[in-house]
Formats: sequence, C-alpha cells, structure tokens
Amino acid sequence: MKVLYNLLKQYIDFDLNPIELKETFENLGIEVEEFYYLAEGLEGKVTTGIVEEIKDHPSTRDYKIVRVYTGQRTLQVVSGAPNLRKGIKVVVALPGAVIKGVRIGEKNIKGVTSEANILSLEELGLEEESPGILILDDDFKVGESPLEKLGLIDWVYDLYIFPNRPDLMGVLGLAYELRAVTGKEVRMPRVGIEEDESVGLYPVEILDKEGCPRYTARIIKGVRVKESPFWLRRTLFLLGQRPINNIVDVTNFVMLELGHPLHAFDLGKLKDKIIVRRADKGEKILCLDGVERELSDEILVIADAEKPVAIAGIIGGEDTGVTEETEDILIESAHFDRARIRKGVSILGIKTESSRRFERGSDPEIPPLASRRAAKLILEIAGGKSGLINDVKYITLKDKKITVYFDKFNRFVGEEIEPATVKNILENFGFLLRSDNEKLEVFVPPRRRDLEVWQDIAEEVLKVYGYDRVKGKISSGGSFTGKKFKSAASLIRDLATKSGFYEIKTVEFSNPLELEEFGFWKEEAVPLKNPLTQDASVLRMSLIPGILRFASLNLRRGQKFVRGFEVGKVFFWKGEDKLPEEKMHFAAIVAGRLEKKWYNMERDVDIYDLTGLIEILKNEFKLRIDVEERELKGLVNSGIIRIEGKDVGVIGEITPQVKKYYGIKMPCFVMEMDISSFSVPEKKYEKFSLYPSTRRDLSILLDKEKSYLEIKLTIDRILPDLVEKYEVIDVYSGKNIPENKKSITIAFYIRSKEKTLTQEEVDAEFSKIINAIKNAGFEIRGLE
Amino acid sequence: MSRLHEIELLGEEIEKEWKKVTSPEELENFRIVFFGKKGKVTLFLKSLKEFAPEERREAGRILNELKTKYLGLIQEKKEEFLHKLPTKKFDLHLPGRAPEVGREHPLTKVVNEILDIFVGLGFEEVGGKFSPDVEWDYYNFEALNIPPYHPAREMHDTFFITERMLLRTHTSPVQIRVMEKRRPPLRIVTVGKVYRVDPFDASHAPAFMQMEGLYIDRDVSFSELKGTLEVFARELFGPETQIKFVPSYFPFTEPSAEVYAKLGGEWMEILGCGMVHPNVLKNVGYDPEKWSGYAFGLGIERIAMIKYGIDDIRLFYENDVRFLKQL
Repeated sequence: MKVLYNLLKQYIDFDLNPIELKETFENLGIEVEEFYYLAEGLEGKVTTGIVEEIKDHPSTRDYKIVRVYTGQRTLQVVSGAPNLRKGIKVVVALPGAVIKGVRIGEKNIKGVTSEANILSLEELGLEEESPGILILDDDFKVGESPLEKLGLIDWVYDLYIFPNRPDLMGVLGLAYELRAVTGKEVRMPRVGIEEDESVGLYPVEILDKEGCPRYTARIIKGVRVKESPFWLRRTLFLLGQRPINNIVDVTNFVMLELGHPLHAFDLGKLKDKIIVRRADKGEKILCLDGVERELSDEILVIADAEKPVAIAGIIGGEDTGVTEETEDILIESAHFDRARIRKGVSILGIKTESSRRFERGSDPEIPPLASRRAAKLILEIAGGKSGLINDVKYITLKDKKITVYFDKFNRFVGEEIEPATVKNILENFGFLLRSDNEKLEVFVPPRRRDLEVWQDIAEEVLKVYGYDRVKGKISSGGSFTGKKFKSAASLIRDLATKSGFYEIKTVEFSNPLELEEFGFWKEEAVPLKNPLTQDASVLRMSLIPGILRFASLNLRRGQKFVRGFEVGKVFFWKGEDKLPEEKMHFAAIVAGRLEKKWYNMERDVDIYDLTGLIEILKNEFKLRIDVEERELKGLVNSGIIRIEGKDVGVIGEITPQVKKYYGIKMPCFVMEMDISSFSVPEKKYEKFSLYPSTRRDLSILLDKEKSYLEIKLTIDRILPDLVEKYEVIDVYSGKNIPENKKSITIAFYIRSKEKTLTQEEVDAEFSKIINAIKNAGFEIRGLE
Repeated sequence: MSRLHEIELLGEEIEKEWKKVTSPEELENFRIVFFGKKGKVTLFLKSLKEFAPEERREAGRILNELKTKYLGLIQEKKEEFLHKLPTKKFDLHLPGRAPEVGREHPLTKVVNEILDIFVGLGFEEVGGKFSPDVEWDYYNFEALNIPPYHPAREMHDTFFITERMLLRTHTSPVQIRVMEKRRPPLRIVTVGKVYRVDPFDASHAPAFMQMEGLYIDRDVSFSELKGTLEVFARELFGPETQIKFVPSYFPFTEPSAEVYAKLGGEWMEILGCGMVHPNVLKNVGYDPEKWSGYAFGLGIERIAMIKYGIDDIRLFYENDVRFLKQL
C-alpha cells in the first residue's frame, strides 16, 4: 500500500517531518518497504520557461532548436517533442538534474548544442508514458520552480500491511492509526452532495446473504466520461494505479482513500436489476482485463437479470464497464464475506487491489460513506445528477466490547502501566471506553475487526506506549533444566567429521526419474501438488542423488578428491490418510584420487575408504553391522548393509552410466543407511588388563577371488577367551605366492586379565586358532 | 682344528663385531647372535660336555669370561644408547603429515551455537516425533489460529501434497504437537526444516531451517519475553549489541514483535516472537485464564548469513568444499 506524505496530511495534521513519519510507521509495526522523495535530483535544477522561438535543426527533421526564456536568460534546447509551440510554458531541466536516474548535462545533438532539457510528465516521474513534453498552464510563473505546483515536493511510502489490518489499506485508516500516536484530530473527507429522488433507485436483490451481507447501489445520470484532472491522475499514478477515465479513477481513488473498493457500471448496459448470487457452474464472464473466465458455484457474482456483470469483489465485467460513451452509471459499494472472496481468488488465481482488501475483511459500516464520497467526486469532476442510495443489508454490527482488567494486563506486560496512560492511548485510537478501578471496557468499532480479545487491546496499547519502553527481565525459568535432544544424528556427524568427511546439506526435493536410477527403494514417493520444477516434484527417498551432485560439483570445480556425508530425512508415501513415513538417513561418499604427498603415494579412492566409517559406527554404537554382497541397480561392488540381521542400507561403487548422468569422471563410492533405529549407547567403564600382551601373526593362503569373510567366520566361531583382539595387517599376492592365491596375515593379541601368560599358555591359545583354520581347509603359509 | 681354537676364533669375532655396534638395533642383534638362546656362545656352552676333558675347563673359563664381559658391556652400551641424543635429522620446514579433517556444515554449527544459548536458559530441545516435515493443514495453520481462507495464509506460500497434507511452512506446528502431549509448564526449543514455494535466489530457498521456542507457565510476561531474547541476542552477537522490538503480526501470537539487532551500523531483523495467542492455548486444551506464554522463531540461514557475512543463501545448499572449509 502506497501513500504520499502530503495526501496523508490532508486527513490528519501531524507534526512529523517525512523522516519522522517513516519512523513512526515502523514503530507501529507498519513496515516501510520503500521510501523516496519525488523531487530527488530535481530540486534547484528545474525551472519554468517559456518557448520564445522554434527553429528547424540544420541536419535533421527529428529535432527542433528551441529558445526558452527562464527569467534570467534564454537557453538553447534541442528537442524532438511533437507538441512544441511558441509561447507555451514548459519545465526546463538544467545541467545537473537527475532524470529517471540519469544526470543530464549540456550535450551536442547532431552539431547543435543543447543547454538544457524540456521535460515531459514521464520524465518528471508522474506518468507511465508521455507522448510529448508537459505544457504548463498559466498558474506557473516563468523563472520559478514548478515542483511545488506539480506536487513533486512530496514523499512516497510503500507500506507492507499485515493481512489482519485491512483498515490500513486506505489513507483514512492510516490517519486513524497516526491519531493514536500523535493525538491529532482526523479530518473526514468531504461527502456533502445533493441527491435527486427523480434519478431513481436501482433494484438490488441479494440471493447469497452470507457471501454479500450488504450491497448499496447509486445511480448517477448524465456524467461526462473523460480523462481525469491532473491531481487525480498524478495521485493514482504515484500510488501505483493506472489512470483510466474520470469515473473509474474516482472509484479507485476512493478505494485508496477509504480502503474500500467500489465498482462503477455503465447503467445503460445493465438489464433490469442487480442480483448478487453464486455463479452457475460453467457460466462465463469476460473480465475488464480482457480475459474470459469460467466460473463455479463457489464464486460470488454480481449479475443483472440476464448474466454475471462482475465477479464480486474481485474484478468487473468488460461488457458493462464505463467507457467514453457512457452517460449514466451505477456505483456499487458493497460488503462481501472475506472467506468467499478468498475462495474466488484461489479458484480463479487472480488478485486485484479490490480482492486484496475484501479478502482481509472490509468494514461493513463503510459502504454508504464510500458511495457518497465517490458521488461527491464524480459530480465535481464528471458532472451529472446523483440518485439516492439503495442500501440492502442483512448485517448490523455493533461496536464490540472487550474488557481489560488492569491487574491482569500489568502481569501480562510484566510491569505497571498507569491506567490513565492506557485509557489515553485507547481513546486516541477512537475507541469508546468505560472504566472503573479494576477494569476497562473498550468498545471497538467494526472497522477494527482484528481486535477480538483483551490481548489484542494490550498490543495496541504497547505499540503506542513503545515495546522498547517495557524493560526486559529474566525472572523464571529457574525450575527448568535445559537439555539437548540426544540424537544418533549428532553422534554420527561427530564421527564422520572426525574421519575426514565434510557434512553437506541438500534440499529435500527430488526428481522421480533420478530416484529410479537407484531402484533399491521400492516404495512410493511423496508427490508435491505444486512443485517448483519437475526436477523437484517429489520428496526424496534417498540421499544418494544429492550427495552425488555434491561430488560432481566439487570435482568439476577442480577438487581432485571429495569426501562428504549428509544426515537428513527421507520420505515414504503412506496414503492420503496418514502422514508419510519420515526416516533419518545417513549417506556418505568418496570420489576422486588422493593426491601424492611427500610422505604418501597417490591412489584412487576405493570402497575401504567408506567401510572404515562402518567400522567406526560399529564400535561407537555397539552394533553388529555387516555387509552382504548383493547386486543393486546403479552400483557395482555392491552390498546391503545389515544391522542385527535387518537390511538398513546399501554400499557400492557408482556405475559408469550413473556417473555419466551426474558428470562424474572419477572413481566414486557411496553408502546410505537408515539410522532411525540408532540410539546413542549408554557407556560404562570396563576394566582393562594390566598384564602384557603377546602378539602372534598368522599368514593364510586363500584363493584370489575368495573373501576374507570365510576366515573371519572360522576365527569368530572358536575365538579363545584370551585373544583380546585380532586384525588383518597385510593382504599380499605376488612373489613367493602361487599365482591364483593371496596371503592374508592376521595379528592376534593374546592377553589375560588376571596374570602374565607363560609362553606355553600363549602357544596353547594360538594353536587353537591354527587348528581351527587348518580344519576349515585353509592353507597356512607361515607362522611366527 | 681343536675346539679350543674355535673358541679363540669366536672370541676374536666377537671383539670385531662388538666394534661395529653403533645402534640399539645392532646391539640387540649382537646379543642374539652370540648370547641369545641359539647364540654362538650359548651353543658352545651347551656343548662343553662334548669337549675333550683337558680342554673343557679352559674352554668353560674363556666362554664364561666372554659371557660375563660382554653381557656387562651390552648392559653398559644399552644405558649409553638410552641417554644418547637421537642422531636422525628432521626438516621442520617440510609440511607435516596432517590428516585431512572434516567439518560440520555451517548451519549445523550455527544451530548448535544457538541451541547452547537456549539450553543454558533452561530450554529443552525436542524433535523426532514432535517434528514431522510433512504436516496436516490443522497443525500448520488451523491450530495456530489460521483457519481456512484466512488472509494470513498468503504470508505462507505453501507446498501442498494433498488438500489437507502439506510441507510445513514453519516450525510452529511443533508447539501444538508438544502441547497436545504434555501439560504445562513447559519450556522447549526445536530445530527443523521448513518449506516455502520460493525458487532459489540469493536470499530465498524453497527449503530452509528454523528454530522455534515456546515457554508456557503461569503469568509469563511480555517483559520476560524481551529479557530472554535480549540475553540471547547479546550472547550470539556480543554483549554490546543494541536490540529493538518492533510490533509485528503473527496470527498465533498477540502481541507480536520482530526483534532487530544493530550490526555493523545497520538494524537487522533477527527473529519473530510474541505472546502465545489465547486461541492457540484453547486449541490444545490449555486454559488461557490460567496459563500464558511466549513463542519465538528464527531463520537459521538468516542468522548464519548475518553472523558470517554470507551474501547468498544458495551457498549453504551448493556444498562447495571451499565454502564448507571456511566456517
């Protein structure tokens, strides 16, 4: 909602300069999105001149050479304006003026010097598109600044009005709000008109009384439709409305002034009467914006005896609109139900200045006033004779009583505000009050339907009193102990970052085709009704696509090696009657090639860079996590991750096809698992042995394509108590080993918690392992 | 060759080898070769009974002398090595073996920083079941005093899944879910993802993070709301930070306010807050005559951007490691 400083001042004479007004708005919670001075860059740089002479340009027909007298001297101006005439008064911009953001200077146009510019309304910022320069009338004096008379010594405020305050969507409402702060009187607009009974009363029939509790119609006969006077065009333009003709402009002006939208029909084109009803399904109307719209029975329309002539509160019909030929008009000033209008807006997908006001809830008491005000201006500007208003209403709203108890109010605020102060503020809002020592009864007029409970009144008081005048304090909270939500996700984050992985975050949307690349999640995705793009039309079921994009981006941007992980939600559709299942997933990726360091060889990443993370999770979460080879779509070297026998995730190398899709050219491994069932384990101290441990190594020969798993299972089956731990320390094939074999060397650590073991005891333990391995059919390469 | 001669030669060998010992490893090797279990001297000693009787005594004497002498020398040498400074030279200017460390996402860091402040102020973090991203219209709007066709819905450009199911537009539904399950008083915070139909640009994202706080008790006052959030803002941005409260509008709080902090000479909006609307309390079965409270919500990305001087929200979701590394 835009407003002008001087316009607002016509309704309330406040003592605030333009900057103070801006601050006052902000302190009231009215956000000023834009604020600017109309004469910015013009002040002191424009003057009124009179055209003394017009000559042809020696080298072009597009320009004339004009001599303009500005009171002190005569300037030579080269201009291409079509409406130049000798003797007219014009606005002359001198070098240094800023016109539409550009600083002008003396210039040379095809060999002729132009010492200044003659301006159009467009260049002055008062019109969208000007056909020629502005010709000033005789009120303007040569040599004087024309800015004041043109209304350019003014300031524009573009205000963001919260949806609960429809009353602030008009200048008058803003004036009421400022009265609360300044205590100054609000001046009502002039509405005195002569009404002529002979003009006639137009019949109105309301069929949907809920959708339209009040409708007023007023005939004005014999108007002359033409362009509006300058002040009106200028005001509308500056407030963001396109001037059309004097009738439409007046209805728009009254809307901006009182916050209440009106509509004007061409009376001659209406059949018999106004009927306010729901549209019939399939009924159509050609709207003022040139679009034909099909209606439904949820939409409220204004119809005549034959057909809809307007979509109530949203947009008028083209056929009954006011044109140059119109002589008699009908002014509609009505009250529509906000939910009904909002429904229409959401079905039709259009928003207008009118619907914006009605859907927030307009003042049901204002229609007659708005109608009178419009009639007053139309009679002044377009002439004609006004008939009486036909006010059909099914609603009577009284002021609403809200009771505020001082004691409760003060406890709510947290400090005491004097009852007199409270009363004074509320009186300035224009509310009637009744009070005793304990309480205050506030009578809220219908224009402030946003005020419903005493807390609303408290806000009004605090707003004016000043939020910042209330002292902040911390008193309670003492009986509460704060704590963080203990989630597995944060422990995983901690472990993964310590292991060299970067945490990433991606958005939860996914491309359904992309998810198909990894066919392992068979469930149905959660679809969005209104996605931003097809690429983001479902909720993700896997973190892998997102993490692949992370790898791709960084590799393409020059990283040789990436390591990342994400912890985030994935979503599974469970039907319309249930919320989707949300699971917490963990995914990790390694891709690229580790670069050579003076102490390290370079190498491609491989799957062990990921399985290491599984080892860490295993230890920290005290879980039995296994990987089982399984062929999976989109992956090679792939496996299913299982926890205590349950499938929880996948691991593997990305196939060339998928890598191509993501633009990845380097080796790339991913894993993903559901961590919803992970819980942070309670930790307890376990006694450790203080006796020495003995290490024995064992090398076992194995067919090259065989897995270590068999050896591990054999060992685990018989693992003697005194073997504290064992680990693979070498995997070797080559010299001294048969071609088709590999040698796996395992170190066993043998230690007792009770004593130092003798050589013989150690040997006995170790031979249990050797025997088991031999019995399982493995060949032992060497013992040490 | 007589056995005695062999022993003499061994003595010479030992003497020669001893001179070559310059490191602990060589010393240990020397010990094993001559005096270990299968060492040369040990083996000779074991085989003394095979010697001719006339040589046995002499041989025994020499071998035992060697043993005593060298075991002593070995011990001395060991001590010597222990106290000797290492001779290996290192170049301290070579870059060391630095393992590459990972990092939490900047948003995770900011979340933790903010959470720590509120936890310190007695707030309990809730999440999990209380905080689904996909919500019913009821929890996202209706229970928060935003009935169907309420104009405030315009402030929330919503992704819909069905007519009643949607992606939550704020974390405020968590307030409702917690209050439905617990009795007052309560003092909670929660962090989660929220969604708005906004294409990505420098200052918008279709999905972003929010933190929500709620305190319900007897006689909770506006002044306490102010005090708590002032402490928070000064904790986060520094003790000298100027803070102001400006009236605002949220359908689920009354009065409502936006909090601004003066940072780098400019007033920056940092969060929205207000006193819980009595209708919200009624919706969860709390008696608004008995209980009152405050609630607040803040955008994590926004705070992170202000705090770290980040000018484009997309950086958080693009995950360039050069960005992730910095914070």
